[in-house]
Amino acid sequence: MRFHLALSFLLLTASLPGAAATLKLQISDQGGKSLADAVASLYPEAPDVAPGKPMPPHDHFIDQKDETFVPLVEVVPLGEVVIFRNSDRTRHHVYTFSPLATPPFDFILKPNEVSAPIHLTKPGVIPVGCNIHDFMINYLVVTDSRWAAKSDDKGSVTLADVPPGTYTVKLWHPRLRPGAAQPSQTVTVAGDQASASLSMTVMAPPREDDRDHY
Amino acid sequence: MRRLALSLVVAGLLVAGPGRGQDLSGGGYLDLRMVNTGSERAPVDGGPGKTRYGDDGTVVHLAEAALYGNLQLTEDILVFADVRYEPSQRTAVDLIESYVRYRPLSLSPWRWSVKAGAFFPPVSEENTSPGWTSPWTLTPSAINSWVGEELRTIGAEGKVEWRGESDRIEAEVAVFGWNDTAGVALADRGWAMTDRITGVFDRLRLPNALSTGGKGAVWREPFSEIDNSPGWYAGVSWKHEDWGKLDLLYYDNEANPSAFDQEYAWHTRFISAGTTTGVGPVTILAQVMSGTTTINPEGDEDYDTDFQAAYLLLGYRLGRWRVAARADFFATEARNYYAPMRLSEHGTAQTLAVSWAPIDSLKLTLEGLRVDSWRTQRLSYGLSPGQVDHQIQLGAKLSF
Repeated sequence: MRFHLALSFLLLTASLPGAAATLKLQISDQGGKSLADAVASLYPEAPDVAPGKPMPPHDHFIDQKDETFVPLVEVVPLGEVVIFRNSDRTRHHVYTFSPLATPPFDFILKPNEVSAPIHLTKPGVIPVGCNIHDFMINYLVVTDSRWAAKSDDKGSVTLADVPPGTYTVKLWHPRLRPGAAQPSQTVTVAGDQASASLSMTVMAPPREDDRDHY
Repeated sequence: MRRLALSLVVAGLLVAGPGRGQDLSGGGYLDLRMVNTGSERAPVDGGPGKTRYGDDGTVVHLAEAALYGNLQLTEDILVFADVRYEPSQRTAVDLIESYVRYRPLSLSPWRWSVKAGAFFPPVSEENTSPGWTSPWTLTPSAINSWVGEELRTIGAEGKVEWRGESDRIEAEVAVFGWNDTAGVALADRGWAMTDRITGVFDRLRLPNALSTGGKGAVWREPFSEIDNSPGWYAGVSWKHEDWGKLDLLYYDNEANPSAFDQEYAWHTRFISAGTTTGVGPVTILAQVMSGTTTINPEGDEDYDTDFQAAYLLLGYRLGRWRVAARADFFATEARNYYAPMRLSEHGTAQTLAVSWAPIDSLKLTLEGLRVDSWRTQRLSYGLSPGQVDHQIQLGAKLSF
């Protein structure tokens, strides 16, 4: 399985050594197009890096609207809680058989129902589906990184409060070729603003949407 | 009884109405065509032609109007029905497909399901849109024209799926009845290029040349049980997120070729392989089919017709536009038939279709079809065996 991570990253440094920085990453695919829903996780290379301010814990809501999980990808720090909500007028049967969900879960949500909180305690990617609507898919990216986020529609990821130091950025995307190692790259953060451009090889989007018959 | 069942399905669909995101959901469409043909008389009129519409110049047709609906009875049980109005069918409204599917949840990569009712065997790579239509062309390939005309699984199918990280393997086995005359059209008429699906209660017209004197209408009911013994099929498919999918199917209606009940049973078996894949922005659909159909009216000698067909479709999609080009190849070889009845044929067809959906509820398609075929049976119509049929259609499909 092949992948590559372009080495074309830029590093901008500013003053104020020692302060935590905001790191902006620009993620693109192998063709140079901005890639949405890519997850970037930061791991310090030196174990004694200043811890920085931890991300405030919060519950993660996954909605079901127009027979679609919203959002497609949710980044969940290890130990936090996910709650599913049904905003459709039909039932959904939410489930995963991923071994990373302990135990694998399933529940039926009637319209306007909200699930019980689900604690996620193992890092990794948990695909979630609906047994009634087979085309529905959602990815819970459970991360043990202190700094992890997904890219917006413009392929941009913003990570706040990153202390100065050298980090490995690991990337993941729903269309990362299965079996391929997660692309990773080293970035150095110094000052209060830093940015890098990263690219990753992903599979082409599906040719047909099951529900779109134009 | 059959009519009562159909009325209940129609009533259910009308209650369901259009919509998405409800336990009861469905939709429908109206398909209008302006057709120009330079063809022989059409098969639906008893002629030797290869296209749906025959020798009547430029005409506007209502191809069909259809309603379909899903009822999610419980989280595991789905009821589906698809009914259609088509001007030349026997009943005002007919059933295209209707089945109940039971698919319980599985918290492992393996999942099983079973469905029962009347449905298409998993042959086609093309017919993925509602009403068993194709998003690419108005007219399906020769293979799927035949599947629509003569095949329906009236029975039950069990399926096992294995769901991996990026691929999925499915295997299915079905047992069915009421498909004992499947194959007669290939033997006695040959391949055709038509999107007129035969409804479950409908009949199929065969060439007038088969009647005594060569002028009368000849009909067969494709969905008949004659020998009171079931047929079966088994298939396997592999779907990969990146690559596409590969399908393989073996079908055998296990009909007793000597059985007779108003019409003969045709023992039809075939192997079919198909793929949906692509290169860059181009979608590729391809299928091949090879089989034999046999009757043995006297019980002492088999009359075999071998049949083969293949197609390659290249499709390109840009937003609400689609362009598709398809090449079809088809042949039948009648063995053991005495010379004047020789029914073998061979031919090729080219289809080019451009479609545009200016709004969600309207799709316009312009399609040109050319079928070049050789069939000795045309001598019975006073025609040369080699003919080229043309059909140009402008279709407007209004969906809701």
